[in-house]
Amino acid sequence: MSRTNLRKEIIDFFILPNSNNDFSHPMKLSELKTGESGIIVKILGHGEFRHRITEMGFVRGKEVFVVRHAPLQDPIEYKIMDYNVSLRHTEAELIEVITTTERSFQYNNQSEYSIIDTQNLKRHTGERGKEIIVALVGNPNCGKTTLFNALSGSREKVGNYSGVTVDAKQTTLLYNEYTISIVDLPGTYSLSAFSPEELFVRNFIFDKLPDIVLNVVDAGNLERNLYLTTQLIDMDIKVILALNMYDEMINKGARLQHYQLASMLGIPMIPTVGNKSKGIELLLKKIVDVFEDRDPVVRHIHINYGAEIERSIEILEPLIRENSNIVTRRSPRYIAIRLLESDAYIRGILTKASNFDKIHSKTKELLKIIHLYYNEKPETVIADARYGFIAGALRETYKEAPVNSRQTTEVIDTFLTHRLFGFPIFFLFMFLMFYATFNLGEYPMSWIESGISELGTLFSKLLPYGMLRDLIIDGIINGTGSVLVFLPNILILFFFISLMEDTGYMARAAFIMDKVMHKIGLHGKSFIPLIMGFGCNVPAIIGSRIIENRRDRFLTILITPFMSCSARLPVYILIIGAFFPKYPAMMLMGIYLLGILLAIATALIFKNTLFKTVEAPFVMELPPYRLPSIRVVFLNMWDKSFEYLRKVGGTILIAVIIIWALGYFPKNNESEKQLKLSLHNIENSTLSDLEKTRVTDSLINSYKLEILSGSYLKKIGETIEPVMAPAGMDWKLGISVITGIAAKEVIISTMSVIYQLEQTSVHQKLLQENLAFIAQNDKTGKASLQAMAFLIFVLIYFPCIGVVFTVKNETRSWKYPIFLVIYTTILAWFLAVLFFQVGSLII
Amino acid sequence: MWQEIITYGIIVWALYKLIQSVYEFFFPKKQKIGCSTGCSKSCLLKEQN
Repeated sequence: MSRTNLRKEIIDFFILPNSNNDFSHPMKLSELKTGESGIIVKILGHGEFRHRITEMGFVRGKEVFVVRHAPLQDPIEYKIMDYNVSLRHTEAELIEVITTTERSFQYNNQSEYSIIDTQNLKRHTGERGKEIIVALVGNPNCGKTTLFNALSGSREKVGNYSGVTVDAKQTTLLYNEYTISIVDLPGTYSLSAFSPEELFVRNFIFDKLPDIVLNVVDAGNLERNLYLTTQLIDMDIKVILALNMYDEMINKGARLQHYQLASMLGIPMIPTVGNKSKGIELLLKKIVDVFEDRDPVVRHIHINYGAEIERSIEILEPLIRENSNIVTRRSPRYIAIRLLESDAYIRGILTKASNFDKIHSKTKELLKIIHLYYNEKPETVIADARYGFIAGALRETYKEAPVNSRQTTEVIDTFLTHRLFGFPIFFLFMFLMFYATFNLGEYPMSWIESGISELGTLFSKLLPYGMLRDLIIDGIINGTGSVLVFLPNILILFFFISLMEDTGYMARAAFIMDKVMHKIGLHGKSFIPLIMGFGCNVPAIIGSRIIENRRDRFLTILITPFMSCSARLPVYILIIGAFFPKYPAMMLMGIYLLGILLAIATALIFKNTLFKTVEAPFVMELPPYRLPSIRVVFLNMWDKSFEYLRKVGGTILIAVIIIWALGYFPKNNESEKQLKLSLHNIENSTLSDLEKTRVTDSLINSYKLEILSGSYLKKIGETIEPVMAPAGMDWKLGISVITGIAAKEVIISTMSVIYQLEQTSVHQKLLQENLAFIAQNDKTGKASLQAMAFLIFVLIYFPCIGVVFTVKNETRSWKYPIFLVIYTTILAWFLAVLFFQVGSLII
Repeated sequence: MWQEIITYGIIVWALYKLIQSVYEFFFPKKQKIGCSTGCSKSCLLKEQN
């Protein structure tokens, strides 16, 4: 495994939210045993600690020898530059070293334990010192991920709404002789640790100590975006500011003297346009300059919070400073400010301090004084001061656009979120989406269908009759081909979802739906993961992390599987196309609506029973409308196609082979011998070629039907048939829904293999034709009922394995996925039976 | 005959992949523990083992 891959895997693992594991495990000075030595590659840590340790000679390239550990293992005595010094374990943890052994592992050309000369080791120390960890932080929807993609050439998902990035993503790139690892963190408005994302980002900065924090701000919305920057200033860390979407700001007519603003804040600023990859080179250069401490702009400033707050900070700071293990990672001033903002998490950290009681009582006393002095809560005073500082800085450097910059957005919103037009427009959009998915998709679908049919014919000509030919044609080509034909429909659906995400309409949909969602006890934000669920339930469930309230989030997770994912779409198209060809788009929309209605009903039931809770306020940013980037939309579609094709070549291929085998065995040797003899006789007969083919096909199909009737597959199907029969489903449909548990597309493959084996027609038919034939020859009208009951069952029953796992990960419990599986399967069976039985009575 | 040998081979392969998937479902692969700023001795040792 390459080093970069290893690092990626490791970082991907560690940056999972709420992970109990430590993010990084480089060789720390504290890990060296007595008698070992290492060479310093990097000093982490903070402020005074860093200054002091550097002054004492702990600099890159110096050799440190472990003399001894204290009797209780802490502190540790080290030898550096011919003098001995003692460091606490927590301090030694902040010094990264490299050992001779490690060096030999990394350059495996040499033997594992070979001795490396000091010269080489020092050179390698220099290389390790050129690895920069950059954390990307910023407000939601400020373009962090777009910038991340531009920096790294990655294709992480982007969208024009808040909370697209729900996990941290990491990439590594080489720039000159530097290795830059960039971690894209979820968007947050502040670092106050109110939401899981805020806490996650803040902990990442403190615990993982990135070398540089790249603060991405929306240049068109500086005032709000810089609030987070003021918190980073307080943290006293190395920050670079990327003024993203700078072109939009300029086009609106606003002007910013960013050099002046940068020197006022002590933070270097680079204008960037993430989606056009502009400013990337400058940004990378700036990262290196700041890392190497050679940027003249960088300086630490203190934001003045007013006389009484500053006096309180001055009182608390020395008390906090007494705890060196705490202040090595966090600025004492920042801790003091957070205490005054009543930050429970920081107070929790301070409980480990030796003088916690003193700090705690002093804080309480100061909070009372501040409250009396300002007649406001201290956190409000501090927030006001931050905004005051930003306003002051912008007054001198920023000139607003002469016209209302959101004018276009407001005009569009007049219609799209209108009291009367809002809903019809939304439903029209939805109808258009389903119409295009069905009707436009038909053309490329027929091309793929004929391609698959041709391929089958080609193989039947190339291979003589036998087991392999049956497997390839009836199993592999039919089974995988039956799923492959729906690729265009899925791409069209994703195209529409992409449009909603990238234009900013997704947030409006959530906005207009909030009241409806509120009525059913959900949050407006729940609407976003629910819509995403039309694409795939897995990212939708992960996306529900944008909902702050835990119970709202869990409820959204539990109802998301009712949203028909793209894997179920082929089943709908197949059945609707065969049984309800007159109004396909309406039928398709109807089945999606049924899913939505069931989600609503479930939400209502759960909200009043399992998830009784106080409703959370609806605070969601409505981003300005943006023209979607064609490149992003098509890359997204390409990724989906690739994912789909991989599924066809993986899970579905394996499933069809096994299903075919179950339908083909046990073999009837006597019949097979008889068939081969008959085929041999026909071949040597005087019949015409056409006649030969007709008789041969007829014999083969009769044989296939005979082996299917005695097959393992039929036996399994007949065992479950009594359960499925009340819903009008025979053994073939019963088997199909069981195999669909792995992935819903397998339902189609299974049906295709079974119907192909069962086929008695002379010509090879695709599954659609087979079903359409059944529909056309149905005199009782029950076939349509059966088809509809089957659709209802497929819509509701058992979410796929991927969803079950995701629910487990997101809820951190097996309780919810198990409940979901049982609930959905029972509900599916009950509704399918109800529909079929009531329908049968009417017919 | 040759058709049967290949077919059985394919079926065995599919069964193997199925068993592998089921095994990984119940015993997911453990992620490797390592480092963020380069490969340390400890993580490389773990990787090697």
